Amino acid sequence: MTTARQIKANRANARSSTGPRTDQGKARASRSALRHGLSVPVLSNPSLSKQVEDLALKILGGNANRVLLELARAIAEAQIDLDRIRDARREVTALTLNGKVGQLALLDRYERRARSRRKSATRAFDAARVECMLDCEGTN
Amino acid sequence: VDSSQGHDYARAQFHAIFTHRCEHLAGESSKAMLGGMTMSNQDLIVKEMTQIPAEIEELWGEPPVLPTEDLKAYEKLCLEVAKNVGPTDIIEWLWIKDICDLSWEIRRLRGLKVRLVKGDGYFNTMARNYGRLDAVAAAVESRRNAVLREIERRRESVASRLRKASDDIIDGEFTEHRAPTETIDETEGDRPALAEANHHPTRDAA
Repeated sequence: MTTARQIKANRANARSSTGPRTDQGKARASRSALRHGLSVPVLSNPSLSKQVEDLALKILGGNANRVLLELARAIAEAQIDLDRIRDARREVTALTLNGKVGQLALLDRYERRARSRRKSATRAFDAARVECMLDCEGTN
Repeated sequence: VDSSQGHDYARAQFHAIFTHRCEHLAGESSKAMLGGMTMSNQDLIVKEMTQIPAEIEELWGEPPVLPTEDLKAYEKLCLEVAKNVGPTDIIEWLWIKDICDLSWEIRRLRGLKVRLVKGDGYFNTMARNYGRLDAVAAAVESRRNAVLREIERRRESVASRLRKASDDIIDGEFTEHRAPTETIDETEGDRPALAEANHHPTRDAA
């Protein structure tokens, strides 16, 4: 058990601290409150933003329609989110084997939301694509 | 040829246009649904493939297989599901991955539950987590079912909307084609050779 003397010394030391001084230390400290980062929007990360754009273009498949591109981006954003959650899930699954089932359940909330967003975006994309196809058909 | 035969001809012509339009639209649909894939005759390719295409594997990322699990069994599962579902575009390929991952997880969670019930010494420490494990397994099953429903809904929805739109187009064209039916008798020799028109019972009888 921590003694009163130790507590006093800890508090004195903490008061004299000005936090990390090196860039490496500052970078590490900036991630202190980060658990899994799943609540951070995908588009705030440049690397993930690039993945979203690439996937959106694949979903679009060469179609140059701007509306479809926006909707494809929404699907891609939700999908990249799901990929992040899947990666976190894989890591947590290993912990689950050690009895930490609660952490697995916590990820469900993020997954449910991402799935819901992807579903809505996919429906909107499909509807717009059919309209686009029929417009092209009408003009032929 | 009397006027009723002219009307029958128009009906046959309508049927021919309808068939042609539906086939045409279906063709456009399948072309559009290929998305970024460079495949043609998608169904045939998917049915005959012996492994998941490299571009799709790249898109899928890391498999959710733990070091203690069988990677080959997971890959086989993915291949079989893909063959059965016959994905038509990138979105459906992503859903295939979902179904495979969720199925894999369901199997894993069921295994864990069995080991818990059997009272495996190591897993006794997890006994208090049985309820949570059960809830997680139920949630995963629910998600898998949702993905399956979404695939069904999407295919039905696209097909029904295409059919409705196609019907609308045809109805419009039918009205346009009906107008000159009064002059059908004079122009009969110049009509396009429509198989449906030639085999219409009323017309054949005449």
